[in-house]
Parts: sequence; structure tokens; C-alpha cells
Amino acid sequence: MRRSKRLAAAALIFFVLTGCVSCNRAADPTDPPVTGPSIEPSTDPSNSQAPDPTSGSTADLGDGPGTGTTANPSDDPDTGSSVGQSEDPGTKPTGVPVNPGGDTGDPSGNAPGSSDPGNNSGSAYDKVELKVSGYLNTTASSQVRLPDSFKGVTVCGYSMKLGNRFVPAEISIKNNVLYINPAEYLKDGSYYSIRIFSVDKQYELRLRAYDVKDIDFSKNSLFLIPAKPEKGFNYPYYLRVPRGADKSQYKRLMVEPNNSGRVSDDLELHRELARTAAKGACLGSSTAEVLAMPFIMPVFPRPLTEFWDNYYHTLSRDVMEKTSGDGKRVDLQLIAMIKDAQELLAAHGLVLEKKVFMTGFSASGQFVNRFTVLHPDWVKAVFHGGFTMYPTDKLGGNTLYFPLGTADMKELTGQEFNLVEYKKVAQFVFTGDQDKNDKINETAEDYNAYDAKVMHDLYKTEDCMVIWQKKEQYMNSLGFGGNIQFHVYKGIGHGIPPASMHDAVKFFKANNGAKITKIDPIVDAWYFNGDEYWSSGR
Amino acid sequence: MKTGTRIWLATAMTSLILLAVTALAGSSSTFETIKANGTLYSTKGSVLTLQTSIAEADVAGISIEDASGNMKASEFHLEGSRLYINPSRDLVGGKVYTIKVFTSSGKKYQIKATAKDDVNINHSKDNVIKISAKPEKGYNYPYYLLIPKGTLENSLKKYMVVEPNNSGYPSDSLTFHEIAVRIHMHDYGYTTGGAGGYQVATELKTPLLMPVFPRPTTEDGAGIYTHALDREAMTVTGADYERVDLQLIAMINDARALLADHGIALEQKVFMVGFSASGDFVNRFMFMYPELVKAIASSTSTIFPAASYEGVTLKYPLGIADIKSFTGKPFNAAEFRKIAKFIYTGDQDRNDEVTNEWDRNGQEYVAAMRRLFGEELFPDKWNKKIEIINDLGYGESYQFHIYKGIGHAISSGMYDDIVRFFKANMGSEIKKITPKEYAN
Repeated sequence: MRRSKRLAAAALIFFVLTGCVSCNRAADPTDPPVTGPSIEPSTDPSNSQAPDPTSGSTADLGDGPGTGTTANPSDDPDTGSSVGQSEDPGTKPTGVPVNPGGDTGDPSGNAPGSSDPGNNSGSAYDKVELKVSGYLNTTASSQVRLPDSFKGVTVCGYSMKLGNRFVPAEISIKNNVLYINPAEYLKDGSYYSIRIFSVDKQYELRLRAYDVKDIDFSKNSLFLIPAKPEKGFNYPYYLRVPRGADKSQYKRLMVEPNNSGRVSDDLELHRELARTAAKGACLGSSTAEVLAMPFIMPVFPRPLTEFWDNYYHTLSRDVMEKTSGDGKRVDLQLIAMIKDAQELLAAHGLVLEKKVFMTGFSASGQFVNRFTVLHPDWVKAVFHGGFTMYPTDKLGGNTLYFPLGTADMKELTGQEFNLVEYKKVAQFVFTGDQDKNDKINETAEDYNAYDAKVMHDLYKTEDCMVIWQKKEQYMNSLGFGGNIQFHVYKGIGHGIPPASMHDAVKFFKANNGAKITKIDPIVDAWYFNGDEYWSSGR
Repeated sequence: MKTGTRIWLATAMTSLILLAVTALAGSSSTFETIKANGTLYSTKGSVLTLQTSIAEADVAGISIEDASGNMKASEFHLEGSRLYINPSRDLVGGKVYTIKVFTSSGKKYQIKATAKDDVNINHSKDNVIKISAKPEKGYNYPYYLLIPKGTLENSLKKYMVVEPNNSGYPSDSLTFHEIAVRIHMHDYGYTTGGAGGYQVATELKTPLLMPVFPRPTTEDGAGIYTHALDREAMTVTGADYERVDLQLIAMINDARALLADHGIALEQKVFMVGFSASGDFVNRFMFMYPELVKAIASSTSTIFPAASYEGVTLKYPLGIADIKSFTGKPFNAAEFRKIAKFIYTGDQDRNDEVTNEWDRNGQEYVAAMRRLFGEELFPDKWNKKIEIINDLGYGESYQFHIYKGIGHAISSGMYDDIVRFFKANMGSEIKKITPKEYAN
């Protein structure tokens, strides 16, 4: 070979490398050069106009390290709002074989391996189905190892579809591993079609999406479960499975309704605040971790728009009266989430009792309080700071309508108040001696004029400590004194007393069985002993 | 070398050349470039009208990539010649993107489009504008601009108001931080919890800039306190949130040029407001770049214009001992003295009593704080801060004030005072105001 030819070759390769490659090489840059894709042979040999199948591999020859066209996992776009399937990030490239027979996906007729009879260009793609072991996470990014035969294929683009719809996602290949980062929640059980376009072929993978593929009980895991309207919930929820939940003696769900403490029409704000809480920064999640119980928190909205009519986080009357839309009957949606979580955990070997433990403070305390009256058949014990509702139609000569009492519960929910089940619920309710949040004039906006009048008549004061004492007296007079324990923490205003964390553990431990047991609570709101607390589950 | 090998090599090299030529032809014809009308927006959905029709039923895949070939998540919908594109995350304004359309009949089309920020100012109302991140211009996160109604007609001096964002929690969701910014910008029709940027901008009819900096989570739950510009945030390397101070300067410069293009000329210096974490940010920023700042209003002030005090070395963020290691230049005392500073707190605010658990400035900082302030109880710590400032001879440019009847919060009365403070400090002289005694 003459020297000039070598130079020409070098120049051409350089040109190809730097200027003209429209497609990005998929394989590891350190791979040895290959002379052609070694996947299945073309399924349509009549493609006379198809580009030379060797052309892609030629570009590969020049595509050495440092061209920067292959995606680097460390540069992967951040997972944004997606939350990892476990608290220790890192998705697993392993999984069960995909079952294309169970496909609920692409009805577009682009069956793998067949050419589209409708095209008139006469140069239809060769369609190649890639068989892989792998799956997709519904709310996090996923990785799937491609077959070795795929190495060296020059990739021109990607696409992800569910049926006919394009699913927004970032897709890349590095070291023959396909990285898929969807920008929306996927649907548990659905099969997604991921297409990889090379110069002359359309590769296709079908992957099934899972809410929870595996649970590793040796560590704390946090799962975001997307809304499932078909199962009765229109909002996502968080499921946290603490380390050792499989061996815990407390076979129940701990449930705390989310309480953002602020309004926003954007559910993303409420989701993120719920994530922080569910990961341990709330009474329920923390107690659940100590007792090694699974925990759920819904991501209910609290919109800015007409916010007093949409105070979902308290389960207000306006919210309960909704007859349409995603926000209809969030009490039933919470039950649907509880059922979903119980089914999901049972599928992973953790079978739970039907009745749950519930916690809440302020708005979420009221939610728990009202939920207990509405659905006592779902509740084993509650520990909250939000007692405002009485399990009665009448009190002190006043008729109590929801959310003060049960007078119109049947009209509102279609169900009678279930006194038998209510009497079985162990309740611990608390406040702080400096908490001024329960003043009637200030909470009146959450109620209608009639309810405000009733509250003034019941309490006849704006002194929150006196109001609290009267609440306890009323519950005693109604005959529920044995079911409910009232407690005042000293030295705190409207906040969650650290001491209540100790008491919550104590209370739920004492009330996991058939008997309702009162505890000896701590009085100093600020008492907290970490060593004692974290070992108190044992 | 054996003859056989030589022949093999020669053959290989020859085929290499042939292949290279083929590749050249092949790659240039891989995609047919088609033209499209319409604007590809960086921060919202777009509709492009394709000049070449593609049969919807024939489309096997659509994607959008940046110039490096990285795919961007987006929704797509093709309806006749109209292609709807709704990127899930922002594109970079000014950058060229390639939209690829693959058909099942084997055709590959590409549309090249330059992403544009949606800067459409209607001067008859308040405008909230989002500017996409522009790494090549020095900022890796988006920022928001509020251009209040009347800004264009305002013939007085206009200082851009800068409020560093403070969302209150660590979160890896940038959307979460962005929502907080939009709340503070009044973008949803209400605002709560801001440091006064909105009030100052709308009263003085001058633009407000808020960055959308992240506050990443960490294993221990504390997070990287970018929103407070603590020492950890200033020393982190290799992350997109490295040196957010410099990123904020890049945003300010970018915004000033953009607003000038729209007929709004601004002074070189800026007004800065901050409360709590963002108050720390503003203080710390002002010490490093006093030449950029005209006046500040902040709920905190725990950094001092000295390298040491009472034998305690004052390193960033307690003082200026090592400020040069961040800015490359010594502390500029002359410019610092020109900044009017309004520092306020509530008499029930206990947020400053303990060394803030979120702030991660290292053990040396904590030890220095303990030596200066002891047990850090209000009002001793507050009074000591004033004493240090006065003792160092900088009392003239500071106004300290305690509001009665409020904790760690800002009331509307306090916002009024903050507005009045900036109004009074538009000129060259530092002016003090008579603030309200009670917050409410």
C-alpha cells in the first residue's frame, strides 16, 4: 500500500469520526472494532435501497474513546421527581424474562420482525426483537443489559411507547446497558415498547413495568406507588418498608395522611413534602421504623384554588361532599391505598392484619380523627394531635353534623356510624399546653356558620386548655372514656412534642392486641432520648 | 512479517478505505433534513409545522436530542403537519436541538431547531419570566424574573432586586424548589414566606431576579445548604451546584443584558433581600462581592468585616480571613462601607439561638461561634453582633432592628419597612429609617 493511500484512509476516517456521523455508537468504546452488526439477518432482503449494512460499522471503526457521543451514566439526567425504588439508590439490571405473550402494549401493528405493508417507500426497516432479561420501575429509572449480539450497533435514536402513545423518556446506552429514565410514572403490569433505531434496523424491546419488583428486608426501602384509578385511588402514595419488617411482631400498616402545611395547585410540592415525611420525618414513619412496620402516606392535594373548599389534608366537609373528580371521597381512596399496599406486601411474603395504626398532627390529626369515626372497621389504634370530632349525633343539646359529629353521616357517606367497631379502636390524643391553634374564632373558617355556633356553645371560651378539658369531659360523658386517652404535653405550642415519639411507640405496642390499654405518658414535651427511643421497639 | 499476514493487512486496509467512503455517503444521507415553522421553546411546549408531510401511521419513533446526542425526555404528538413537542425538562435557550423522526418504512427525518426562552413582556401587567439554565454562560440552573407593571415607564433609578431562593427543605426535585420560587414571585396569584423581593420590586417598579438553585439531599438528611451559601456549598466541587455565588453573578449579568434589550436600563449594583437561609446567603455574598451590591435587607447577620476578633480567626462564613481563596481578591472594605444594610429579627425568633444544624461550616466554625457568642441566647447573641460591627467601625452602614411580637417570620408591616429602607437608599448616601416597633 502506498503511503498516500494510508493518509487518505486516515483522513477519511477522521472526517467520518468528527464531521459526518449522524448516529451514535452504542457499544463500549473499548470494544474491539467489529465489521458488521452480528444480530439476526435482515428479515427483508428486498430492501434494495437500504443503506449498506456495513456502513454503520465503518463509522464505528473511527469512533474511538473520547468522541463523547455515547451517554455516560454519570451524566445521566437527574431522575428529577422520580424517587428510587429503595432508599439506597441503584437500580438492578437483573430481572425476570419478559413475557411478550402478556403484552398490553403496542397495538400499532408494528409487530417485531414484520415489515409494514402500508409503506410505499420500498425500504422498510428490518425489525429485530431483542430478547432481554429486565424490567422497568414505574417511578424510577431502569437499566437493562442488552444481548452481546447488540454490541457494535450504531444507534441513530430511541423511542419509548405504550400503545400508540410516545412516553417521554431519556434513553441511552453505555457498555451495552440500556438506561431508561422516563419522565412520567409508568403503569404497573403494562408492557412498554422501547425502540432503538440503527441505520437500517429497528430494534425493539418489550419491558414490563413494576411498582415494586423486589423488597430487600435487610434495609429501609421507600417506594412511590403511582395512582391507580382502576383500584380506587387517584393520587400516588408512599410505601416505606423498614429494615426487618418481615420479622416484626407488628403485622400491620402504619398510616399517616400527608399534611403539607401549605397550599399549592402543584401536586409535586405535596409529593415532595410527603416523601420527606414518609422517609422518616413524621410521627408515623418514625414509629413504624422503631416497630419495624410498613408505613404508607398518601399524596393528597391541597390546592391553592378555593383552598378553604379543598382542605383535603383535614378531610373537611367540603372535601367529603365532592361527588366528582379525582378528589372525590379521599377517605375511600385512602382505604384503597391501604388495600393496595397490603396486597402488594402480601405478594412479597408480608401478610398483614386488615386494621391499621394511624398517626397525625394538626390537619392530619383531624383527618385521622374523622377517618376513625367514618371507618372504624379499618382502624386498630390511633395516636394523634387533632381531636375535633365526636362519635355522636347530639351533644349538649346540639345536633352535630360532619365534621363535628355523625348526625348526617348516612346522607354524606351512605353508611351508618359503626359504634361496635368504633368502641374497639384504641385512641391517644394530645395537645401542647401553649397550643393556641384550637381557638374557635380562628378555626371557624374550616367550618360553616352553624358548626362555629355549635362550637361556641359547647366550649364557651377561647382558652384552648379549657376547650381541651371540655373535650375530654364530653367524651367521658358519652361513655367513651375507656377508649380514649387525652394528654397534655407541657412546654410546647402548636408543634409535635419530641416526647410524643416515645409515647407513640409505647401506645401502639400496648394496643396491638384485643384489649384497649392506656399508657403512662411523658409530661415534658421536650423529653427525648435517642438511644432509648430507637431500641424501644424491642 | 509473513506474506500471509501482509496480504491480510493490505486487504483489511483497502476495505477500510472503501468502508470509510461508504460511511461518508451513508451518514450524510442517513437523515433527510426537513424544515419546520414555529418556535421551539426551552421551558414550555411548542408546536412546529413541518414543511414535509409524514404520515402519522408510519411514524415508528420520535426523539429530541441535544448537540451531543443526549436524548431529552419529551411528549410528542404528530397531527397532520403539526408536531407537538412538550419537553419534560427544560431545554437550554440558544442551543440547537435535533428532532428525529423514524418511520416504519425506514425513513429518517431530522429537524434542527434552536431552543428559545419565552421572553414575552407585556408592560401593562406584572410579568413572570423563566430563563432556562445556560451552562455556557455560567449558570447551570434556571432563574425567574419578575418585571412589575410600570417598570418600563419608571424613570427613577432602577436597581435590580435579587432574592436568592429559599425553599425551606432539602430536596432533589428541582421542581420542588421551582414551585417555592414561583410562590415567592407571586406567579400563582399569591405569595407567602418570601424575603420581601416581591414587595420591593412591585413597590419600586423594578425587576426582581430569583435563581432556582437546588438544595440537594445528603445521607444524613441535612442536605447541601446551597440556599444559605454555607462553607460546604462554597467548597463543593464537580457538581452542577458548584459555586452558586458565581452562578448568581452570571444570572444577574445575563438578566441585565436581557432587560436592556427590552428597554429597561438598570444600575450596575443590585438590591438584595434574604430571610433566614437566604438572609445568610445575602450576607455572605455581600462580603465577597461588595462592588455588586447597593443595599441589603436580611434577617440575619453573622459574618463580620475582620479576619479575627477577640483572638478568634474569622474564616468564611464568619469573617474575611480566607475570603480571597473564594474571590481571588482581598476584602473590599471601601465598597463594603457603601452598602446600606438593614438587619432585623423578631423578639420571639429563636432560630439564631443554636448553631444551625443545617449549616455545615465545619468544626472550626462551630468552635469560633462558641468562643464569640457563648451559649448563643437571644438577645445576648444579637447584641454581641451589633457590638462587634460597631467595634470594628462599620456601624455607620448597618441598621439593626428588633420587631416586637413575632418569631421566625415576616409580617406585612416588616415588608413595608424593607420597602422603605430600599426607597431611602437609592442615592449615594446611606440612610436609616424609623422602623415599626411591633411587627403587627
